[in-house]
Amino acid sequence: MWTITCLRLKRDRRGVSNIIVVVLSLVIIVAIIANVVLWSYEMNQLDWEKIKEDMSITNVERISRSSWFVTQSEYTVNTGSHISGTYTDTQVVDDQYERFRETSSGTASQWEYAESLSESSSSSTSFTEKVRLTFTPSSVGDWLVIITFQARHTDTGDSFEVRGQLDDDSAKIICLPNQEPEINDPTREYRTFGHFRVFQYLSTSEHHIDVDYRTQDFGTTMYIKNVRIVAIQIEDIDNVKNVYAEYENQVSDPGSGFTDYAEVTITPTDDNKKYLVIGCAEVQPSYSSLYYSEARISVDDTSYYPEEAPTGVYFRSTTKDTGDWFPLMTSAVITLSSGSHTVAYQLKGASYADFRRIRIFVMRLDDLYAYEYVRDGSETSTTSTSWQTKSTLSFTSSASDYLIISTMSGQLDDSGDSFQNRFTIGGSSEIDHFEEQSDGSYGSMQFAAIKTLAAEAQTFRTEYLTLSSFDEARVKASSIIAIKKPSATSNYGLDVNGNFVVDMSTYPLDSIQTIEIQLRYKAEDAGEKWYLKAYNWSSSTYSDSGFNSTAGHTPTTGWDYYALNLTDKWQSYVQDNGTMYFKFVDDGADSNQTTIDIDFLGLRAEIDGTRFTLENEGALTSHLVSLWVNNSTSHQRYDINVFVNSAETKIYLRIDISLHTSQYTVKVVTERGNTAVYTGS
Amino acid sequence: MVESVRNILRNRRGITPVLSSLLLMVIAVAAMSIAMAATYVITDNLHDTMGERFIVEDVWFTTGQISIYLRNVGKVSIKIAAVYVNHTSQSFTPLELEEDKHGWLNVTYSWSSSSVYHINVVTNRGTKVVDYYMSPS
Repeated sequence: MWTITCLRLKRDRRGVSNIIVVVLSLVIIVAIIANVVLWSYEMNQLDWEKIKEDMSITNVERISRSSWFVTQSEYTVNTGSHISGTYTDTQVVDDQYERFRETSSGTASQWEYAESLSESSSSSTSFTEKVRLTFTPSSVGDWLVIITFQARHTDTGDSFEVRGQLDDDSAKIICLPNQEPEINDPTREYRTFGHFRVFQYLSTSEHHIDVDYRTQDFGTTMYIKNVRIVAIQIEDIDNVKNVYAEYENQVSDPGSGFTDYAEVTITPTDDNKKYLVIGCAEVQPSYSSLYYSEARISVDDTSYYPEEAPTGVYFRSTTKDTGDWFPLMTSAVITLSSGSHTVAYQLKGASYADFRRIRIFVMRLDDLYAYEYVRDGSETSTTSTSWQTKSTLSFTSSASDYLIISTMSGQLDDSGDSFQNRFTIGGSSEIDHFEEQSDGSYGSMQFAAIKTLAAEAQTFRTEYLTLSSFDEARVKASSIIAIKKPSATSNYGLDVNGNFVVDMSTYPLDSIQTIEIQLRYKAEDAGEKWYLKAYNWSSSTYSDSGFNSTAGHTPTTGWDYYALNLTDKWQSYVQDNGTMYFKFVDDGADSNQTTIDIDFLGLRAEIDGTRFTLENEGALTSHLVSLWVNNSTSHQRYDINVFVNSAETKIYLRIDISLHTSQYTVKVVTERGNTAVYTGS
Repeated sequence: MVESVRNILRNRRGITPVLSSLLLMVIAVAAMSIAMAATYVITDNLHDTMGERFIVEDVWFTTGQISIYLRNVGKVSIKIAAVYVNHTSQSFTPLELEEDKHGWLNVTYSWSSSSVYHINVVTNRGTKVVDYYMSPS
């Protein structure tokens, strides 16, 4: 085939030449098309895109202030306490706010107390008031309320019930124990009961705490005596000095291992300081003596109160009635190092064990209170029927009120007989705990009172005995704490720091004329001035030197605006990276504990710039490359690099462009060569 | 080898066609080169002319001068060859702009206030931008 073709080509050479000419012509034509027609097509496309581009300037305005810069981290409370809210609540003006309260550099000193020591009885199933404590807090604050009493029922098949509550509010019940006695004999069964609760932010209106009692079964009689109500104002719950948690709901069958309930984390800033810790819960073991409930206070899961004795038993309660609720309360003075600690009321129990009103409270003693204490956690025993001393607290008191708290765990080595625990002051019994032992229980004697002591030697004791020399009475976790009422103080203050950052990438230092600060806040009282100060990086102090006003602001008790200007001294208060520290502080300490709500705290820079509103009504994204600001005497061009998507309106901010006061023309030029014009004056 | 040379010298009738073929080939290649070069020159000039785009961003009437801010938005560099104000050629500072570059073209001209001027900027390839501009009052 190939041979035949070659022979034919040799024979007809003119045809080959024609083909070569045609092919070469085609090459030239293709080159022309490639270089001209396709190029023309590309340029036409460019022109077509330019035609379709539709940029416009819809507004040009002078801007004299930046947007607000607000804190991006939580405020630091140097003096005072944080009550509620977070820093995010201070970022915009709205109904959300962060609340702080002044605290005293001294100690809250309002203590209230009521007691009814005589014996009362009731055969009614309705509550009868035994004692009422009425008081009016001098300032909004947190209160510790402790109720202790002795009660018994005359019918071993029936139960009594005692209720302690605040302001007749069922949500503010302090204690609600009930019990069916082991024996109807006041010399063998007259147990002590105690419970506590912390009420936060108690208002300055009048409050009352009642202890009411009743029999739960019609036609039977119960007795109550030695009822004491202690209410003391405490420092705010701040997780540093004081901490509190409660678990009011019923816990059923917590399991055979101890589990944390009412857990708190306290983070002391000082090392090795003494703290009072109180824990309590009401327990209901179930109907059978085979069942039990146990509880203990755990500190970092390394120390437990009461101590373990005998093996595996801390607090233990059994019962004979399915409806009974026993309180288990204990107290101790512990030492905490600086750093985080976990304190919890731990529970465990056999099947059907129930718990409720579980509470834990830790309160700093050192540096705040004068106090004396003694504690003996070990278990000791006696077969003596006369009083044996477990712990003795001897000290010389001042002529002052003292809060006295004493708790001790006791049991008998055999069921069916009784033991007795008591707390004495100067040999005089304050409370006697009679208990007929039920299987395996290891309960507690509980006492709390406020006593006015003279300036003299004091001897406080916990004592115990067995009512039968054939049985061994055991006690452990004996604690006596006497806290002197602090003298009245009137130096409440608040000092809060916040960190702010000015966006230097948008507002360089050389474009800032000054800094403005604005605060929107509400103070509970109008009795003192409030100041905003900034950290001066030159002098390394907080100052308002150079501010347009250094007089502070007097609030109205409503929402107030407090605005300041740092004038030309602003550079001393701004770090090169834009960081500023602000302090909100009161005008020295005063006698009122003020609550402050901060709705907004922000700063902004005063500048002289221009805001351009650019609108792309075309179908293509526009790339703006040139900006002109012209007037009759000046034509100023600025390089820009702004992309505006189709159908997008873009705000373009230039803080280096100052608009003319006379008539001006603004032009933007796109990369494709279109121009948008705006004229203003 | 010697034998091959003798054969060629002996058979002189085969040389002429070869030489004529070679000569025709040289002529054809030369003609083709000329045609290609001509095509390149013609189309390249056309190509540049078609790719030329520039705009006037701003015109500023200053004392004795009209300053025209030009931006090259085309695909080739441009060189301003002439500026006509009211159809009259004017002297100006030379200006060449590469792609995406921009700059002032200063035209020496004594303008009158509140007057309309027909300004025509022409590149050396013949592309022009023409518009009317009014001087400030």
